Amino acid sequence: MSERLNNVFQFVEVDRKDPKKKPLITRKGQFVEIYKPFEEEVAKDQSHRCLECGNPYCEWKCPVHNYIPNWLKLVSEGNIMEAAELSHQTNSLPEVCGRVCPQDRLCEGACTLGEGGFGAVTIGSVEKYITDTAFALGWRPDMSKVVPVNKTVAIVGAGPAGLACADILVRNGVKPVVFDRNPEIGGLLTFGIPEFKLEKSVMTLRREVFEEMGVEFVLGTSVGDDVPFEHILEEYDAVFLGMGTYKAMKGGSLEKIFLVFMKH
Amino acid sequence: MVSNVNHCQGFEEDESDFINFKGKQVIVLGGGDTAMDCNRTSIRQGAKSVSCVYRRDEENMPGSRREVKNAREEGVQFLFNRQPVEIIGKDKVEGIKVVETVMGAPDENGRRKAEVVEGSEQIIPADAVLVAFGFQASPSPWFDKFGIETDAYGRVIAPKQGKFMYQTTNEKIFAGGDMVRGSDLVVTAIDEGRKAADGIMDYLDI
Repeated sequence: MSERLNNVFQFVEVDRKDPKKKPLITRKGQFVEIYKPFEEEVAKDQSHRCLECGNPYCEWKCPVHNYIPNWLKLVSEGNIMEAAELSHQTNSLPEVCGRVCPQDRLCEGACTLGEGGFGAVTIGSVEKYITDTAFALGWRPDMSKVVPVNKTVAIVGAGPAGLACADILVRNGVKPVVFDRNPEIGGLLTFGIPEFKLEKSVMTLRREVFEEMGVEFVLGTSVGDDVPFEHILEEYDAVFLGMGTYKAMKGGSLEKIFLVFMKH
Repeated sequence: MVSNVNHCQGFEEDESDFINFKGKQVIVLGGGDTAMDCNRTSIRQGAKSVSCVYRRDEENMPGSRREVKNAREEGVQFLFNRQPVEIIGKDKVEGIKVVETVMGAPDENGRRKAEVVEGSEQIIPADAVLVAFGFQASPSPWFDKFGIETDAYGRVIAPKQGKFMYQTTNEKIFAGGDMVRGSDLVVTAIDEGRKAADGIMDYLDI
């Protein structure tokens, strides 16, 4: 390993390697994630391909500006817990982004190595590897320094926006109470994105982690129907709405198609 | 998609809600990530064939290239440069009428427009057609009553550049994600949720 850590030409000697996929027969018939997890050595080898550009384009391209070169270095050195802590400083659901982000249009599309024809660093797969591995090893976000401020905020919608809002609030001592009409958190992450990209156990584990952090979930409860919005507005210090978009776009003359499809 | 998740995860309330494409010739319209999800769900349900019809070429697809590659590996056929114009069939779907397109000049966002080729109509047979053209805003009927204003597209007005980030026209209420920006990536929703939390804490003087 020490040899690798001193190798500045890792990006030349080691090709970009994505995690292995499951066999096609499994993929065609089952609703399971198609990628196998990175093995530890592969994750380290791949992470060390990062050039640590002085001005990391990947980080700028990422909408939440993840500290990508920094956590790649931590993975390369085997510091998985520190990598998880750092990854969570900028992202509330890194294990989800690692799975579903279009990396080829964002961080990996901006990677200097890709521009140079060497193949971008496998940033998304490493991002997923960090949090999955850290969770399995028992890592949880450090809440030991959080001081409660005696404020509560209602969040309507347990999708990515609502969960991210709850994450920041609870880390700052504000009590978030998240309402959602569905029986599980995630919004479209759970009820839209299929299992072959994001298995549902990911959100179940994430709910447990959020609950341990002090986020309260009121699921299977539709605000406006089961709970009047008046009550929420009165009882809480502020409200965040993250209710998504649910009306399917219809294409002018194609309206008929959708209706036909719905009936059959 | 939703009914398939409910079916697989045991959240199904009514069995008739589940839509199954086993043995069917499926056509998916659209070229984004949702279209890929529809394609690949149909494959896993045992569809006889799955064709993805998209009006632009492969280069101008909006979604992740990785998912297009995965879809192709799993047996999805792609029909590029074909714009759907009409559904064919009386009581049930029998096919779809499409016209061929060529790629024209780039629009204001740099994406090339699809221009229709006159007289290029053709019919592709299908038993089921899925439309994956994205989602538009679905504001709740009670927004008005609480002074939550929306724009012409029904998106909640909650600007990042406001006095408090992502505050709506009701000062106690904040909003973010797809309902503010229109349907977009998971990571942009996460970004907005986090920034709205900062806005809320500023508002509460924390």
